[in-house]
Amino acid sequence: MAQKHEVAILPWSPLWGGLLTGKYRRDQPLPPDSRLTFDPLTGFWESNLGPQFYDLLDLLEELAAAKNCTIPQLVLAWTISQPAITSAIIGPRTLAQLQDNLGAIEVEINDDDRQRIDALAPPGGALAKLPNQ
Amino acid sequence: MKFTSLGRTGMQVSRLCLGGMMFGQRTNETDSAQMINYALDQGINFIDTSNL
Repeated sequence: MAQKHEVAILPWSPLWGGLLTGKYRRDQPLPPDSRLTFDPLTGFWESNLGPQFYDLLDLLEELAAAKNCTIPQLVLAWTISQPAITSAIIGPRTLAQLQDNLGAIEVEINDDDRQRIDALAPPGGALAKLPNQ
Repeated sequence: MKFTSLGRTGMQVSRLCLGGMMFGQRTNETDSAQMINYALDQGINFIDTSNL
Protein backbone atom coordinates (compact mmCIF):
# COMPACT_ATOMS: atom_id res chain seq x y z
CA MET A 1 0.00 0.00 0.00
CA ALA A 2 2.88 2.35 0.83
CA GLN A 3 4.39 1.63 -2.57
CA LYS A 4 1.09 2.20 -4.37
CA HIS A 5 0.65 5.59 -2.71
CA GLU A 6 4.37 6.45 -2.83
CA VAL A 7 4.65 6.71 0.93
CA ALA A 8 8.19 6.42 2.27
CA ILE A 9 8.93 3.83 4.95
CA LEU A 10 11.87 4.61 7.26
CA PRO A 11 12.33 1.85 9.85
CA TRP A 12 14.17 2.76 13.04
CA SER A 13 16.25 0.29 15.01
CA PRO A 14 16.90 -2.10 12.09
CA LEU A 15 19.58 -3.76 14.24
CA TRP A 16 17.09 -4.11 17.09
CA GLY A 17 19.07 -1.99 19.51
CA GLY A 18 22.17 -4.07 18.82
CA LEU A 19 20.55 -7.48 19.29
CA LEU A 20 21.02 -8.28 15.61
CA THR A 21 24.70 -7.41 15.52
CA GLY A 22 26.03 -10.70 16.86
CA LYS A 23 27.50 -9.13 19.98
CA TYR A 24 25.10 -11.04 22.22
CA ARG A 25 25.73 -14.76 22.04
CA ARG A 26 24.09 -17.85 23.42
CA ASP A 27 25.27 -18.56 26.96
CA GLN A 28 27.90 -15.82 26.78
CA PRO A 29 28.23 -12.85 29.17
CA LEU A 30 27.21 -9.42 27.90
CA PRO A 31 30.12 -7.65 26.22
CA PRO A 32 31.41 -4.69 28.25
CA ASP A 33 29.93 -1.30 27.28
CA SER A 34 27.22 -2.95 25.15
CA ARG A 35 23.74 -1.51 25.36
CA LEU A 36 22.26 -4.33 27.41
CA THR A 37 24.75 -3.52 30.17
CA PHE A 38 23.28 -0.06 30.73
CA ASP A 39 19.86 0.04 29.11
CA PRO A 40 17.10 0.04 31.75
CA LEU A 41 15.29 -2.53 29.64
CA THR A 42 18.09 -5.06 30.00
CA GLY A 43 16.12 -7.48 32.12
CA PHE A 44 13.26 -7.23 29.71
CA TRP A 45 15.39 -7.97 26.67
CA GLU A 46 17.26 -10.85 28.24
CA SER A 47 14.07 -12.52 29.39
CA ASN A 48 12.76 -12.37 25.84
CA LEU A 49 15.74 -13.83 24.06
CA GLY A 50 14.92 -17.47 23.52
CA PRO A 51 16.26 -20.29 21.35
CA GLN A 52 14.50 -18.87 18.27
CA PHE A 53 16.49 -15.67 18.58
CA TYR A 54 19.82 -17.45 18.86
CA ASP A 55 18.94 -19.81 16.00
CA LEU A 56 18.32 -16.75 13.82
CA LEU A 57 21.66 -15.26 14.89
CA ASP A 58 23.40 -18.49 13.91
CA LEU A 59 21.87 -18.25 10.45
CA LEU A 60 22.78 -14.58 10.10
CA GLU A 61 26.35 -15.41 11.05
CA GLU A 62 26.49 -18.17 8.43
CA LEU A 63 25.05 -15.95 5.68
CA ALA A 64 27.33 -13.05 6.57
CA ALA A 65 30.40 -15.28 6.50
CA ALA A 66 29.42 -16.57 3.06
CA LYS A 67 29.18 -12.99 1.78
CA ASN A 68 32.33 -11.91 3.54
CA CYS A 69 30.43 -9.19 5.37
CA THR A 70 29.52 -8.54 9.00
CA ILE A 71 26.20 -9.48 10.62
CA PRO A 72 25.08 -5.83 10.94
CA GLN A 73 25.85 -5.28 7.26
CA LEU A 74 23.80 -8.34 6.33
CA VAL A 75 20.85 -7.20 8.46
CA LEU A 76 20.91 -3.66 7.09
CA ALA A 77 21.26 -4.91 3.52
CA TRP A 78 18.29 -7.24 4.08
CA THR A 79 16.28 -4.33 5.49
CA ILE A 80 16.82 -1.97 2.58
CA SER A 81 16.39 -4.78 0.06
CA GLN A 82 12.71 -5.00 1.06
CA PRO A 83 10.80 -3.39 -1.81
CA ALA A 84 8.79 -0.88 0.23
CA ILE A 85 11.67 0.31 2.40
CA THR A 86 13.01 3.76 1.53
CA SER A 87 15.91 4.10 3.93
CA ALA A 88 16.91 2.42 7.19
CA ILE A 89 17.69 4.60 10.22
CA ILE A 90 20.95 3.44 11.77
CA GLY A 91 22.02 4.50 15.27
CA PRO A 92 25.77 4.01 15.60
CA ARG A 93 27.49 4.87 18.89
CA THR A 94 31.03 4.77 17.52
CA LEU A 95 32.81 5.69 14.30
CA ALA A 96 33.76 2.04 13.86
CA GLN A 97 30.08 1.03 14.03
CA LEU A 98 29.18 3.74 11.51
CA GLN A 99 31.93 2.63 9.13
CA ASP A 100 30.74 -0.95 9.42
CA ASN A 101 27.08 -0.01 8.89
CA LEU A 102 27.81 1.97 5.72
CA GLY A 103 29.38 -1.14 4.19
CA ALA A 104 25.88 -2.62 4.00
CA ILE A 105 25.26 -0.61 0.86
CA GLU A 106 27.43 -2.98 -1.18
CA VAL A 107 25.98 -6.24 0.20
CA GLU A 108 23.57 -8.10 -2.10
CA ILE A 109 20.69 -10.15 -0.66
CA ASN A 110 19.19 -12.89 -2.84
CA ASP A 111 15.93 -14.85 -2.73
CA ASP A 112 17.58 -17.82 -1.06
CA ASP A 113 18.80 -15.59 1.77
CA ARG A 114 15.31 -14.15 2.18
CA GLN A 115 13.67 -17.57 2.26
CA ARG A 116 16.08 -18.90 4.86
CA ILE A 117 15.64 -15.83 7.05
CA ASP A 118 11.86 -15.90 6.65
CA ALA A 119 11.82 -19.53 7.76
CA LEU A 120 13.32 -18.58 11.14
CA ALA A 121 11.73 -15.13 11.47
CA PRO A 122 8.39 -15.41 9.65
CA PRO A 123 7.03 -12.20 8.07
CA GLY A 124 4.37 -10.65 10.26
CA GLY A 125 5.70 -12.37 13.36
CA ALA A 126 8.03 -11.21 16.08
CA LEU A 127 10.76 -13.05 17.95
CA ALA A 128 10.06 -10.97 21.04
CA LYS A 129 7.54 -8.40 22.09
CA LEU A 130 8.59 -4.79 22.44
CA PRO A 131 8.04 -3.16 25.84
CA ASN A 132 5.09 -1.14 24.57
CA GLN A 133 3.28 -4.11 23.03
CA MET B 1 26.21 5.52 -1.32
CA LYS B 2 22.97 4.66 -3.05
CA PHE B 3 19.91 6.91 -3.13
CA THR B 4 16.18 6.59 -3.56
CA SER B 5 13.11 8.82 -3.74
CA LEU B 6 11.61 10.00 -0.45
CA GLY B 7 7.96 9.27 -1.19
CA ARG B 8 6.52 11.94 -3.47
CA THR B 9 8.68 14.76 -2.19
CA GLY B 10 10.99 14.69 -5.19
CA MET B 11 13.97 14.45 -2.85
CA GLN B 12 16.63 11.81 -3.25
CA VAL B 13 17.82 10.40 0.07
CA SER B 14 20.56 7.94 0.98
CA ARG B 15 19.42 4.35 1.58
CA LEU B 16 20.85 4.60 5.08
CA CYS B 17 19.74 7.45 7.33
CA LEU B 18 22.04 8.54 10.15
CA GLY B 19 20.08 8.40 13.38
CA GLY B 20 21.33 10.72 16.13
CA MET B 21 20.01 8.89 19.18
CA MET B 22 23.48 8.34 20.63
CA PHE B 23 24.79 11.83 19.90
CA GLY B 24 25.15 13.96 23.00
CA GLN B 25 24.26 10.94 25.12
CA ARG B 26 26.47 7.87 24.85
CA THR B 27 28.61 9.56 22.18
CA ASN B 28 30.27 12.84 23.16
CA GLU B 29 30.23 16.02 21.08
CA THR B 30 33.67 15.57 19.53
CA ASP B 31 33.04 11.98 18.47
CA SER B 32 29.52 12.82 17.28
CA ALA B 33 30.86 15.62 15.06
CA GLN B 34 33.50 13.29 13.66
CA MET B 35 30.88 10.66 12.86
CA ILE B 36 28.52 13.16 11.22
CA ASN B 37 31.34 14.53 9.06
CA TYR B 38 32.38 11.03 8.11
CA ALA B 39 28.83 10.13 7.13
CA LEU B 40 28.50 13.25 4.99
CA ASP B 41 31.82 12.47 3.30
CA GLN B 42 30.51 8.99 2.51
CA GLY B 43 27.43 10.38 0.79
CA ILE B 44 24.84 10.28 3.58
CA ASN B 45 22.44 13.17 3.01
CA PHE B 46 19.74 12.05 5.42
CA ILE B 47 19.88 12.53 9.20
CA ASP B 48 17.27 11.64 11.80
CA THR B 49 17.82 14.07 14.65
CA SER B 50 15.68 12.02 17.06
CA ASN B 51 13.47 13.48 19.74
CA LEU B 52 15.92 13.81 22.57
